[in-house]
Amino acid sequence: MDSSNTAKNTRRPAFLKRLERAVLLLAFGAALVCPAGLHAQSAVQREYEIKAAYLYNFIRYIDWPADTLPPAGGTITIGIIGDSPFGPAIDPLKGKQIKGCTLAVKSIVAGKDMDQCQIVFICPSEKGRLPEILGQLKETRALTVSEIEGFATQGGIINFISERNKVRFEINPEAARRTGLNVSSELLKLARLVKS
Amino acid sequence: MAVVLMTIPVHGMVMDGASGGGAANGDLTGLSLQELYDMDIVQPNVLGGHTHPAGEAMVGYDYMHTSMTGLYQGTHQISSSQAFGEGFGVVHTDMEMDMQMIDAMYAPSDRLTLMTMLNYKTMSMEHLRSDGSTFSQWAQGFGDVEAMGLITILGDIRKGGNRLVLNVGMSFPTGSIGIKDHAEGNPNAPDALLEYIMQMGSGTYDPMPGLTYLGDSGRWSWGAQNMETVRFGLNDHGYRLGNEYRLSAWGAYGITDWFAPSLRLDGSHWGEITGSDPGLANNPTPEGRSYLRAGDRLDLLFGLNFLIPKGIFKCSRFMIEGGIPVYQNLEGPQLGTAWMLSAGFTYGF
Repeated sequence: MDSSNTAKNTRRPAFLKRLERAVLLLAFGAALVCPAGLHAQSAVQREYEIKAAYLYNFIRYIDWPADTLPPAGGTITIGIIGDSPFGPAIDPLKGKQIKGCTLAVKSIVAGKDMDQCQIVFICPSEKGRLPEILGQLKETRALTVSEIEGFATQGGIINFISERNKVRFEINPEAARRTGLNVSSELLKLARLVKS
Repeated sequence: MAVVLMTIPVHGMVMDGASGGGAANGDLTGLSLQELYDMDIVQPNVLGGHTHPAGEAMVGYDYMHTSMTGLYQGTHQISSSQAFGEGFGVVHTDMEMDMQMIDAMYAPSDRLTLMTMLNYKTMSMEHLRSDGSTFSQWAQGFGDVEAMGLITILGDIRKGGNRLVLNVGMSFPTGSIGIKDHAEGNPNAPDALLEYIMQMGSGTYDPMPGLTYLGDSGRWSWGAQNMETVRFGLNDHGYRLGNEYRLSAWGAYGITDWFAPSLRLDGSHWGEITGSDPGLANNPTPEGRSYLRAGDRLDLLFGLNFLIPKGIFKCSRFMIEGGIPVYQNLEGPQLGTAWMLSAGFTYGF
């Protein structure tokens, strides 16, 4: 390495130095102070809109035992346990008609109201209590869905994963079969299949 | 000539129907299972995102033309006669440079995007002798390969908003520094080494550190980038090019989901050459003098950015940008820049 890098060679004009300092200060200040969610629609919101739409499609592509779904005109309920990451992305599902029923979304507490839900989404906030919650859900016919790493291998039925900037999902067919759910081949074809 | 790494992100300007289905008010329930499966989380937008989400790759092609004319000494232009009066037997009157560049990007994670660029340059230089006669010389070849890691140190590409990206790059001396053409443009004359500005590379391994700030709000986006090319040692011809400092700031507004004009200020400084090429010892032009190579320039550029919404190139981007210098301060006599125009196409997958 040559150390003869002259002062003239590294000289920077005053205007460039002042401009650089001002821009860097502004950039650091803005990055530290401004909230990240100023933009009209963030990728996080889009991610949960996709996941919400998947939940809707799961109802279309999964058959529950006849005595589990409400009669026509009834309500299919998606129960959410924990701190919901969906925000407004889940709202379009509320009141939608599917399989002759009206779709409802509500927050529930683990251990309570779970048997009234056809789908139970377990939020990442419940990661520490996952074995306990899955144990409580064993006696229900609910489709369990989450986005907690390892959810499907721990006995959950469907787990969302991120892959190459897309929302993909794992399915544990054995867990689905134990719950009495019949997962369509179209859904299985797109899923990454895992075992408990 | 370094190429500023400018792709402007506007997370608000997403293609709602990018996957082919309706998505009014965030309701994607009308999409099929396959459409949901294929949908990007970080949506492609008209201005690109500078970095990429994990697993995404992009290839691009850029064409740049720079037209140089007029001899500058400081901030003023001087005549050819004045340059001859300083003892130069030949001066340059015009130079046209066309650069084609291919680049590839891949993001192994949301925080890191890897990038590499290779360019091919074609240059022509018009000369004027003190007796009034003229001649031309040509040069073409591959330039230096650049590789860079773009590391997001503040912010999150998935959340948008404000981000700080650290650029850690290196320029590799793949471009020739021994380009020759017929002496004085005479096809019967032997080849002579061309001036520093006509060479394809630096001949040295050059670190390229930099910092990029990206911000967006609604349909607006803005950013700034500081990029340096720091040179060490001497190349095989006994010199090293001056360090380069570049500071660029830009703003853009998405008029539609597929069209956004942008405005950019690009300030640059390049230092003097250290050492000199013995092959240019008898070169009669100011461009052959290693001690007349430093300069500062501020360019104002206007750009048009498009996102292709349909067809086989769906979600690819096309951009065109042109500009002129608003300030030039050159150690000279040195050829000034008249205007520049660039066009680029990127395809992400």
